[in-house]
Amino acid sequence: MEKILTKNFDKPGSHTLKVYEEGGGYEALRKVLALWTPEQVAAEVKKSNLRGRGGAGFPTGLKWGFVPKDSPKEKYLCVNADEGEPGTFKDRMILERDPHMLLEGAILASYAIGAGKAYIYIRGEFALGGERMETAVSEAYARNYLGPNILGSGFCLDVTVHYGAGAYICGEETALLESIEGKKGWPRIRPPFPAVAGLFRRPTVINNVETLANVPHIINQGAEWFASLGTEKSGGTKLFCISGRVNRPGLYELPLGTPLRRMIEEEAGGVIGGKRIKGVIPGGASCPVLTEKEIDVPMDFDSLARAGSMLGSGAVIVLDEETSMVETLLNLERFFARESCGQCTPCREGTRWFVQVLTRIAKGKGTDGDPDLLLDIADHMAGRTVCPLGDAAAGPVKSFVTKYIQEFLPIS
Amino acid sequence: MTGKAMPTLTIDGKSISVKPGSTVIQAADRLGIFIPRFCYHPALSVVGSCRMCMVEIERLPKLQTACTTPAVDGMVVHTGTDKVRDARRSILEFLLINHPIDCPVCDKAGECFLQDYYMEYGLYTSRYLEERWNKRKVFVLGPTIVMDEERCVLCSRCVRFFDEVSGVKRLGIFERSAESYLSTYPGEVLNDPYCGNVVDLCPVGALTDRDFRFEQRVWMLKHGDAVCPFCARGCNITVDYNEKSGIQINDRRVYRFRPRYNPEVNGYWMCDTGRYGCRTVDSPERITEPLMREGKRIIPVVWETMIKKTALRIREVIDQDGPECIGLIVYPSVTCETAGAAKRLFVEHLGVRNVSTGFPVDPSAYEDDILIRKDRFPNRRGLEEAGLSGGRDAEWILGAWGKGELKLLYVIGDDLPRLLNKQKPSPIFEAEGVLILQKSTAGPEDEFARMILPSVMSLEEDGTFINFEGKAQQFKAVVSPFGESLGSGDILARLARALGLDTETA
Repeated sequence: MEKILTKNFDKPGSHTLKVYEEGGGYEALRKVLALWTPEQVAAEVKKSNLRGRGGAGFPTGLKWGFVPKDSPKEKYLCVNADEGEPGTFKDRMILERDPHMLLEGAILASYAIGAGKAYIYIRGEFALGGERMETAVSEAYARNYLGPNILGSGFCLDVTVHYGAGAYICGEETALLESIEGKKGWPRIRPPFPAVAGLFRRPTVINNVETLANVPHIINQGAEWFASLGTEKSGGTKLFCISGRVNRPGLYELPLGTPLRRMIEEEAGGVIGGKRIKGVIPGGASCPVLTEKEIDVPMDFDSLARAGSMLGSGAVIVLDEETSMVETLLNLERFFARESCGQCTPCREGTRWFVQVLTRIAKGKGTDGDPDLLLDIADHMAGRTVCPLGDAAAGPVKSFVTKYIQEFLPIS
Repeated sequence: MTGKAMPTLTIDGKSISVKPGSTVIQAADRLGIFIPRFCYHPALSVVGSCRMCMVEIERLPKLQTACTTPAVDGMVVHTGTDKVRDARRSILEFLLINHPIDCPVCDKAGECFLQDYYMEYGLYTSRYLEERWNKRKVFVLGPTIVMDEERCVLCSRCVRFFDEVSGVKRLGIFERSAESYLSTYPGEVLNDPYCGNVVDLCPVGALTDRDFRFEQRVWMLKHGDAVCPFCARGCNITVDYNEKSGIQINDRRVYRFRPRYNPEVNGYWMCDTGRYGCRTVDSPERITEPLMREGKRIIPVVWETMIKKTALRIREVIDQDGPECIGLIVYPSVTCETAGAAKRLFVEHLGVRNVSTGFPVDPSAYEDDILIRKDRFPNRRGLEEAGLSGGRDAEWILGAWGKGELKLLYVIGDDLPRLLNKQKPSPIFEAEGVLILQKSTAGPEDEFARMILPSVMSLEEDGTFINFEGKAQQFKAVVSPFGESLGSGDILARLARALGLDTETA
């Protein structure tokens, strides 16, 4: 299969402007600024069936379309590079190996939505990725891919690289906005939606790194080409981060719709020591787990939704027959309990309660009522919180406890 | 929809049209349908964080928080379904996980949202088998406010109050997750002039008032409407009192002033000066009975004697020296009615011309654009409108008093700013003449007084104050007069009768 996003990853100096330009970098930008209107860019992306790669899979063209056209207010683009979903390491690789691809995508998106200012919000721990991104931004300024009157087109764009301070919640788009504004990363209530009142209460689009990295390719090779790569409803390839008990963990660029089992067995070389698969988390820590019987599912947004899980960020975590599902779930819930922003009641209290009950079960002090209690807490969290973190914490509980209930009951 | 039309929605079968941009909870409040809430307050920004106000909206699969959901035309809302009640129960269960359930020793018990909602929607057997989390107790946030972290539900009402109303960021919620806690910013102390409001705002017993702490169970209290007498704003207040406290003269005690909502005067708030002004009502310095000087001693007398002797002294001076030898000071602490009675008696009937309404407003006094006015008296406008202020200034009267030109000085009302700030010296000093004080509370000038006629404070009588904006506010007596004190108007009427005058038909 043709690699798109990762095609430059193994070239020496792939993160430099020189190498990026040698591979045709910034040609999409030159083409667009010379010949295309912003509406054409947005229309092309819409036609490509590109869907957000941050986890929710929202159609990118549609999202851009929500920005009010006639608003006199300044508009912003925010690049969400706060990759923190456990098991996920795809955006990091783009930042480290091909930051100009992301930057070109961000410039094209800014042009499409009429933003004059873009923020790249990078997870604070990404030292190398951040450094390379900052260098890329300086190089782009020097070449007038950024700044005033870009390439003589009249379009102006300034980019600021902003670092997170270690909170998972700041990857939630409205918490990210709060964080850029210098506030505590507490997700906002919606409405108003960021497209109408986002950063500094101005119209704002927030896109994931991988999402934007696709945009130059869509411009260069056309929406039809991109759409043809994926499934009917979602175009392009996807970066999958395969980890857990597999022989070859790592980053894989594969077409959307690749069956999960084939991904594990062929791409990742199967389970270590030929052990049986007990379960697979298909899209990162917040996605419901799939049992061994369920992993023939094609890995795309809609198929996984039908299977009761999510594609999420494409982080495939493989659990083998020796893995304790109680310990695994406890590990996940510890993460969510620590990362809950603490703002709203069900998430703040529920995540901690999960950890307490699971710790008790893990210590062999569980009761017959614990599985029901866990499920009931999850039911009262899911869909009732300010932001999706409540759902993210409840989803794994529901799936782990229902699918592996024997492990959560006391040994009788 | 044009977006400017008034959306009409239905809540529990009742329809209402609301202003565009209104939320479901605002519509419900207008319909008189109460949706439980912790974080939502009509005067603060909406954060939607407690999740208590969830309601069911037809055609929406998930429950929605009423405080964040815009009212939309044709929306059908249900606030009492099983699903909604179950959601409320679960929020309470989450909030009560680490709650100490110390209602028996909590000042908030009886007016606590958590307690009230639990009785309505909770009443479950606890499923929490883990150890409760002990957090900070009796954490002093400032001279008046104490925090109990275990009771806090992190609704952020108090945080938003300082950010948005009093205007100085003082409180924040620190850390994240279940470890979140409320505290002052480092080095900050809650000492601004509006702190007390956060105790009223706190829906639970997390923030309590050191002045009220452990003083009284709230269900023992009666409530009355009054107008705060401590500045020219005239904030509307609720007076919480107990008629049978068993610890005070008259067996009654005023425990608390709280703001009473009035959008035209004070909104939902009041300042701490007014709030803690409640201590003056049952102060040990209140004068309980008429007092008369006999030589060096001052002795209690019955009202009949007091009135007779006072009238006699006034008549003596009028007859011997004429009304130009009488001075009258009426502090703007008295009601419009008392001012009118004073004018009829002294000005119209006795011909007294040396009349003053106290001292001008202190230009150096604190004032802000929230509530507090430089003028610390409640009724300067009222006295002006009663026509009492056209005479002399107090400076002139006290000068004449000092020089012995005035043989009798009659002072009506309390010097309220001095009552609140005891360091402030009294402007009235010893002189040759007869000093008669008609007031509620003892002060340093009493030692020069020949007679002291105890009068009530404003919440012990019916009356009217006119605030600095010209708004006349009538009020009724909330509590019975302290000791033997009488209404100011009543005292003046008795005096008039003793002087053989009919002031009713002035």
